[in-house]
Amino acid sequence: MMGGKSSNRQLYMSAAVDGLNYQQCVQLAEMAERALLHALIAPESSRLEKPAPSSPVLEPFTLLAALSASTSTIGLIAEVHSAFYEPFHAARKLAALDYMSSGRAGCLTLPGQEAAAANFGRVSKEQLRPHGYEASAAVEFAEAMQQLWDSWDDDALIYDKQAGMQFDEAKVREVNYTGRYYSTRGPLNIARPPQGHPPIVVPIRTQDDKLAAARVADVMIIEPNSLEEAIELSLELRELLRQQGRQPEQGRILASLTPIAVTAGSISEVDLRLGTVGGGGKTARGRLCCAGTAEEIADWIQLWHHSGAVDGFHIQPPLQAALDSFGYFAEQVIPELQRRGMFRQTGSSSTSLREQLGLSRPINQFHVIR
Amino acid sequence: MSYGKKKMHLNLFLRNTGHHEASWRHPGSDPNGVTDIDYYIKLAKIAEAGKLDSLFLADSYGLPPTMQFLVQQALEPFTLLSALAIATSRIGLIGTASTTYYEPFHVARKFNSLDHISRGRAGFNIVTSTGNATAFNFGAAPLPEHTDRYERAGEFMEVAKGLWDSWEEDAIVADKEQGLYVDPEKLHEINHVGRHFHVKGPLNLPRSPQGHPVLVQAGASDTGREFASRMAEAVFTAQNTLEDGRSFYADVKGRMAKYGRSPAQIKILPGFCPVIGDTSAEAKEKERELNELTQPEYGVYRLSNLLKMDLRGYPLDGPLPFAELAENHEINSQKARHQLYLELAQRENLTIRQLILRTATSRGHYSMSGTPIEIADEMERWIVQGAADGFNLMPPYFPSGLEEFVDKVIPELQNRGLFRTDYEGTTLREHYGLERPERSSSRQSVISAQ
Repeated sequence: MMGGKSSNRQLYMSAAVDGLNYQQCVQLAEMAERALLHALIAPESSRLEKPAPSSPVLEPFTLLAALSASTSTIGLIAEVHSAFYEPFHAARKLAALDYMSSGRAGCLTLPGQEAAAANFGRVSKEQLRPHGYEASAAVEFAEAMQQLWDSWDDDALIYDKQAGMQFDEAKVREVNYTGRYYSTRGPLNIARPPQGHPPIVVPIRTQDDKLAAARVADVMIIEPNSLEEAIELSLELRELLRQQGRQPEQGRILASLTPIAVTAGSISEVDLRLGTVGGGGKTARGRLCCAGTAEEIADWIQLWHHSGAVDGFHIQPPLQAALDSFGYFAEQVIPELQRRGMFRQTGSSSTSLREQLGLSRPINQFHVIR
Repeated sequence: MSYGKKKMHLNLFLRNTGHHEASWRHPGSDPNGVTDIDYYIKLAKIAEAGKLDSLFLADSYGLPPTMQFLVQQALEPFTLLSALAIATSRIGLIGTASTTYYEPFHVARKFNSLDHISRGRAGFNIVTSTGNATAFNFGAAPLPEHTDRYERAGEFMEVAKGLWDSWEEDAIVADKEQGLYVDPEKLHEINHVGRHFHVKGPLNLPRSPQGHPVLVQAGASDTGREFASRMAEAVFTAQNTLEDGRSFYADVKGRMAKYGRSPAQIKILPGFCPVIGDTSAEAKEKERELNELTQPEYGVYRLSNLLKMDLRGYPLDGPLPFAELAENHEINSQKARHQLYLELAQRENLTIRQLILRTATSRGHYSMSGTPIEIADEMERWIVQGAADGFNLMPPYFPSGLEEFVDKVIPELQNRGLFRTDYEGTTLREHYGLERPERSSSRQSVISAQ
């Protein structure tokens, strides 16, 4: 076992929750919450995969809103495909989810699958992603949402029954956001969310993603092939953050990971089919996997975490056995990490996802201007 | 005695602190509740204890200019109803989405997802949006014209239904041995190409418990009625008198035959706002207290907005300047409500202040104050005389206005055999006595043919 010299560095953990069976989603969410994970991420798909290897998934906002009633501390991050969505709709749903969950909402933005364009009347590639869309759309989408959230001051609502005044008019404003791809006037029809801005998560897949993330992401999810690649990628991302005048801790870096349990002497059929037995590496499906006993998986996580490359992991259970696989991770691997002092043993006193991720609450940008 | 009586349907219209515009100033109301999920869970549970068919959330995508006087609906229907689905088990959950500012694929997907999560309790109130306060949140173009919006709505619903029908009932095989999840022959592209939408499909969710969510509509203009008679399964409407209610009821049901539909396939639910007291005098006093809390300044704004004319310079105790007002055909949104207000003011010869007070309780929907017996009498009259299949219940203030109705009026209706004493089904369609739609099999192209 390796030493625990950097155990004071917080390890952040999220997990994917999806599927068609709501009861199984609840079970996974409850397991994740018991294991003190920081957040759940509900992936979105805007098309059907062909040939359909995966089950269809419940829509993220409806799924997470329902889960907000079954959980009390874990973050709830919805995947939104910006090429097919309006910032006003997304900002409002995230604000509503943030109120309903007492500050646990977050948003993962992706442009959306090219093959889904035909479901939204974008018949050509050019219509889906006009030249330059990828480079700036994620930034625009996030900026438009953040301005809408800031269209209300935190203390705008007064509800003065005597005077008959709902809020202070000087504290609610149009934002008139006009970008290349999106424009919205505002104000939003819901007050500023408990977190100010629900955190923005950007998966890093292309060079454009890196530039966009450096400007707007609170959390970045990387998909490296090896530890060396992860270290290199993180150095680059942190440098890009600095160039935007942001601190490294303002952009948490999580590596996407599929842990595969190999209990002593028994290798499940699933593991064999995935071809991942015996150490970490990428599978044919392009996911970073780590196979082993709970101790071996913990060793592997420890190695990565101590390298400084990542702030944590986004756990993506294998499709074929999500509940069983995640159950093993939550009930065997997490306690092992806790024994080593690497993972928190008590929940945060705050339910705010931002606070749990060690992110500060953003001040209202319209105050800075004034 | 109560044998064979037609039972009514009751939908709870959930609206922030209540339907009276001054409800938020009522000592018992909690304006902060509008962003608190526990507040809505409490109201939903009261409605479910009263065996109501459904609850409903209206919606819009912008703040109106009158916002400082009025508590806005805060939480958003899809997220709120999904959470309420978990906190309740029987009551139907009707959400509003605009066909003008949404993509049909997103809406079809969200309602399908809600129907799965709630095990068959989703309803879709179809609206076409009003006003530029919404329009400019989605780009620089103003609100499209009334007829264009309805044309888009018709095409939108054709796409949505196609998507809901894009999976055959038994498409999921889930054969773990063979590794076959769905039978690709049972998934169908819709390949819709129309003036407003190009949508390929299939939907990325299997057919939901109800097949389609229950389709609800509330536009009462001529175009709106035509749309409802073709498409809707429940209609929310504002009718100021029993007579108006009867003619609306007959009109909408009369239009259905040409679409091959029978009158029972639409439930007509006029808005109904009861102010309940143990005595008539107590009910009157409650209404007076609420009206005292209204703000004329807001009322003038509200009227100006609806009548499309700035009324701020006119004396509150004088008549409406009828000669200067826009005529109904010049109005682009809320046409039927515009007509209703003008007729009400003329019929009863109301001053501006009186019109504001008459519409403060429920914005032109039928409202009355009375004892539980008086209220049940009036409801029975509307049902028996063919003005309604049930009501869109609009308590003047929450939660007590709803509690009083459930505790005092519901038992009276049940004693008369006018309302169920327990749920008989589990889905919203079963509550309303609506059939589960057959899958339309006109879609030909299958996904495997790509």
